[in-house]
Amino acid sequence: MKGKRLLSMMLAGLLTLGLAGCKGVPSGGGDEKFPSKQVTIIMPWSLGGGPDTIARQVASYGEKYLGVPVIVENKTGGAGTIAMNAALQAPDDGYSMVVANGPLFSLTPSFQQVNYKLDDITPLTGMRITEFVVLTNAKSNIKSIDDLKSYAASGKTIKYATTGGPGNDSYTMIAVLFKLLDIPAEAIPYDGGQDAINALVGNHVDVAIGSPPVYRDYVINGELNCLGTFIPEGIDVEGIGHIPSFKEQGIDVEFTGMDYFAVRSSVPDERKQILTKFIQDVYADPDFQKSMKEMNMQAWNATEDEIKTMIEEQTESMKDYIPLIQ
Amino acid sequence: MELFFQGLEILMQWQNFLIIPIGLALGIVVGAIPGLTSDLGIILCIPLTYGMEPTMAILMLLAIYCGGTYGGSITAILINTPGTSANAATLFDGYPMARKGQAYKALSMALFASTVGGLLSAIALLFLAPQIAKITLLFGPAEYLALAVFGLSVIAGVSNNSIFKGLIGACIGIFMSTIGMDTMSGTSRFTFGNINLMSGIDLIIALIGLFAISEIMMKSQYDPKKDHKQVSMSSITKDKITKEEYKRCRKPIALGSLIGIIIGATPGTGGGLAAFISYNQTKQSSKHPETFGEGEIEGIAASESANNGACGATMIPMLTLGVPGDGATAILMGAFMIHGMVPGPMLFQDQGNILYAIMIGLIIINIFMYLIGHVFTRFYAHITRIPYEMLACIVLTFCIAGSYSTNNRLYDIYIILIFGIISYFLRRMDFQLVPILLGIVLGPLAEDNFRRAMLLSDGSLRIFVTRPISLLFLVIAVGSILMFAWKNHKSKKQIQA
Repeated sequence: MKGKRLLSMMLAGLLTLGLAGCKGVPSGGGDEKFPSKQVTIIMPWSLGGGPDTIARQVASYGEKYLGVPVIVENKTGGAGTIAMNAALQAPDDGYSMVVANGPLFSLTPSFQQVNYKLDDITPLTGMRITEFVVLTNAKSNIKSIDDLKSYAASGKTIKYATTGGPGNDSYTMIAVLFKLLDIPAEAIPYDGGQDAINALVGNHVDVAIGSPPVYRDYVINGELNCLGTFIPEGIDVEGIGHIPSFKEQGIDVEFTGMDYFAVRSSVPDERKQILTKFIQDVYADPDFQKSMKEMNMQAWNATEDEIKTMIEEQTESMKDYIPLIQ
Repeated sequence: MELFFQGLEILMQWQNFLIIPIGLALGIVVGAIPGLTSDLGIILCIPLTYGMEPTMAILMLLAIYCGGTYGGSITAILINTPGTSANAATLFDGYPMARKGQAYKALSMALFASTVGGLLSAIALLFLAPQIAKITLLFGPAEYLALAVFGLSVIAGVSNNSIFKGLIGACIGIFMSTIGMDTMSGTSRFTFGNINLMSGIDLIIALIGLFAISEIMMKSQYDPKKDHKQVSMSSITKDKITKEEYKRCRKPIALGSLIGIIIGATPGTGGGLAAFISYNQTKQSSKHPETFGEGEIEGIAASESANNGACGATMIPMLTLGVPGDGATAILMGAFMIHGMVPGPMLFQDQGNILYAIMIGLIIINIFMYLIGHVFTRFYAHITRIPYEMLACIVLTFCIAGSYSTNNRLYDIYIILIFGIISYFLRRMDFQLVPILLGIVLGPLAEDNFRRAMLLSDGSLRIFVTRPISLLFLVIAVGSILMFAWKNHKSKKQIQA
């Protein structure tokens, strides 16, 4: 008998844990006070990455500033389109936010069929800026674009590591760069930024594209060289100093990667405002700022209009870039 | 050395010793439930660690990770379904042992081997991390392909009588792994326009379908009246591991731990592959390979020491290069960042004392794991006493809940059911499931790296034989296949004569 009781207790314990694993099921909503139940952030990128880390940090302040729990659900794959579809299928009651980026609108539609458009969502607040930098291994002695040109002039095809395949922003931009430089080069797609940088550190490829903080340590300790960044005004990185843009070096290419929080555009305006205020309250919180600083990251507090304008400009410039590499 | 003692000082706080058992207990439970993995356990607990000191927080998450990798063996042994993909090789001998009434012995060996593997791995992390990291950087696409081929050569060893069925199984597995968006070319394959298939089929979803659902279906002819064996309560925990068995398992555990450390330190592989390779090597070098798969305690020792041996080693590339060794370490890396430690080459310089505290803590975690596991094992062994008609319902519930929680979508539940039905028919036709699993795990590693290597070498296959590490793995792979062929040939001759 004792054994049976013990067993049933054990099973009960297991079951509770199983249910905990399933996460809470939202209860029915109405037009009462918003928010009255948990808010979900749909995250198109994988766990532990930059945007995911920031989103989870923001979500942890849910109880403090929104009065309800905020949870992050990762729905990865399809270059972000799976999360986008999930967000558009969710009810437009404001309980589902989504993290989106520029390329979902400026780039992805040129590579795969998508059933969303920019008007379907309203950006609430920016999240972060991704500053892509092109790097080489210090052992290769390629320190500048001119070195790269003379390296290629000796008849070699440059192999460069990207953080994803065609349709990915880093892939597109570095391919455009080589096209504009008129250097024979071939992309080797890797899975994510860290893999691409490691391929370069291990000297398996000649050039790689990366974004901070992934490459920073290697540049500081002298293993990698920076050739330039796609951000038009260049960037200043702590410990490295100023990294010049390709624009400044006379190459007509620019790109600013960005992620932002958004909701379906049919969500009532007052709810959009509550959610926007929530994120901005978190950004202003000293604890949040401290933890972001520790991670070498910076929140990008941009408004809806700023984000939309950037996406529209990016879509225009992609119209020039994409034919170059197709 | 100074950093080492500073680390020890940080570690020696009572809070740390309190949090480790909690993490371990949680890890063992999530690991044991099919569909819930240590990955999920870590994610659920990250928010709990926000208010903690970095050392304490990371130790808790590491305890979940180690506990989970061991915990998965419990379900592998008791209900023929690996709790996590790392424990798939434990099924071979674990389940047959449980059916023979030796569940307690099997569970005890799994715990012992896991602990030794984990301890050795933690020591390797503590003393050899920078050196191992340098070797890891030598791994380019050619080396990864060779490693994947070596991993696939295990099929020869695990497909028992019919190597062709094994190869067909591997092809089915590789096919399954190609479903979804191909990141290299940016095109979707075999999705038939279905957006749910774009992200491919999750390993854990495939695992639940292949093993758990089909296992329940296989039992459809089970008759509760005559098939359920009444086992007396006291006899279950009586069957302890003998001294002779400990002695016999010394070699498999040493080999398994070593393989675990090597494979674990190679990014993108993980404990599952380590366990298969270790199991295969142990079987190959054994004087009695025919007993493997029939309930051989050495088989459990080999696979469990390898998957926990990988646990500490996966941290090596993560801490030194910022490359996670497997899924769980990718999440752990996020946790490190949340606590202000950015993994990468500078981490040892910037926060060496905390790192040492964590690395020494990993040794403590493994010691605690043995103590806690020892207590748990007594209770878990009694699961074999539950009538199967009840157990099946409980397992099915967990499988469905677990597969839903992986991606929070209903679609995955359909996938496990479809996989379960396919797997059921394959099993009725005497196919082994492990080659399918190997195909799913190694297919993408082999394919992506083959394509990368071809791009790097401008289409020349010479890249695989001109690079020493790649050549070495390929030679071992070919050698191991030839050895199996020779042994098979010999045993067939013996039967004829």
